[in-house]
Amino acid sequence: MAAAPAIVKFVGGTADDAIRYTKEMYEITVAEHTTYLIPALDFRGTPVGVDIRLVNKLNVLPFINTGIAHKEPGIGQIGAGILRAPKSCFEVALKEFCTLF
Amino acid sequence: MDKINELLESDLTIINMGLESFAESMKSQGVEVQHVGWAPPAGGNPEIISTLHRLNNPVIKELIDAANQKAAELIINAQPVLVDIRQAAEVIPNMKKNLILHAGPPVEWDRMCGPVRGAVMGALIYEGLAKNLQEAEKIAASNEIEFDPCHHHQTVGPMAGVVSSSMYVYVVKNETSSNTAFCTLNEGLGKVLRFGAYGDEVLARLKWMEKVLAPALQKGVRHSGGINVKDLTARALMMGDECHNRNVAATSLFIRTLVPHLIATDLDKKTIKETVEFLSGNDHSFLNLSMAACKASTDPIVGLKKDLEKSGSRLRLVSLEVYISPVSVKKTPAETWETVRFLR
Repeated sequence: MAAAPAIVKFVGGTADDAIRYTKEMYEITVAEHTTYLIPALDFRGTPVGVDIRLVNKLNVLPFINTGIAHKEPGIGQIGAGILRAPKSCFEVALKEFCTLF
Repeated sequence: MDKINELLESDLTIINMGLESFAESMKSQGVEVQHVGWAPPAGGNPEIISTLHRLNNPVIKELIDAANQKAAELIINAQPVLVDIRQAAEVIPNMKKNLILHAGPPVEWDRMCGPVRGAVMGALIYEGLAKNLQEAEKIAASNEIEFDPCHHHQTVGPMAGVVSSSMYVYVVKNETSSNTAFCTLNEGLGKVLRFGAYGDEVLARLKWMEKVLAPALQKGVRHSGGINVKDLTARALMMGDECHNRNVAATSLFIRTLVPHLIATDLDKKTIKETVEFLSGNDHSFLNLSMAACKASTDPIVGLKKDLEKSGSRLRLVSLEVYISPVSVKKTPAETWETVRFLR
């Protein structure tokens, strides 16, 4: 999102938010892209690879910018917004992942 | 005691950890205070802390870190290229007339949320499998119609992610790993199938996309010999897109790349005009291409799980042997892992 400050006109928030959200994702990812670069972060690569260990340890959940559908069938898109992925997904994933070892 | 008094009477610089309100109240009393943002790991959840502790065992941690690096490399080095546009039934593995693909994990009709149900009903009418909404709802709930996640079929779709056999899909090949991913074409915003709308205008648009748009794009893409989606994405990031909810630049770059090829085919002027107008009139046109590229770029990492499973079962085997040996009889297999570092 830091690459697209204008996105907040569609999903809400401020241009600073757009940058802050992306910066936060570096805390829970394992790498930075070498081709997908973000001008506003001085051409830092986009965060790549969410690590479920880091998500659980730091309690930092991936953010999602997304469209919003009406809850009833047949109506369609009613908006867009930003939210966090549910914590339980990452807790369940971590416990399941641990059974590999 | 004297020492404590001495300390309390002197000018203090305080370091506060954890609850910020302590730092704030000291600040309000004119005390110099440095706040350190700190929270217990995993929000203090003991079960998660112990799971993290297990995974932090040096042997296991090394395995996971190495797999993570490999996964990141696979994603970063992927070369997603749009190579074709085909009907779902022709290219998506195990696609058939009575199968509807959807977003998310496996889910049966009764548990689907409203927008996914709406999209399924719309798709059944679009496919001619149902005449109206009532009939669509009835057969969706019967055994006649099968459901499966897109992800089980190398496919993605935005929002409801509903894909049926007649829909055209982008065919994006990851040239680095030789795998392919599929995604439907974007319909626009508002009243659209992917958000659960199923009105006449929605279905008429889908039919037009099938009869006019997709075959035209197919000719253009085939003439181009392949369009590198990674290049378009990288350039669009420089132009203020994030290539999910903002695709203005990427859509423009895609059109700019495609138009010379559309013109070079035997398509008539009217079809080219309608095709370009539709793509230009929808800033989200690139979104589905972006999704197919992401899917093609990330799918190869699934293979790494098998490697981890193998390593994991090897570890379990070894630790079990340690467990039954007299010297470590009190330890559970999980706690013996530190002892197997050299056996990897």
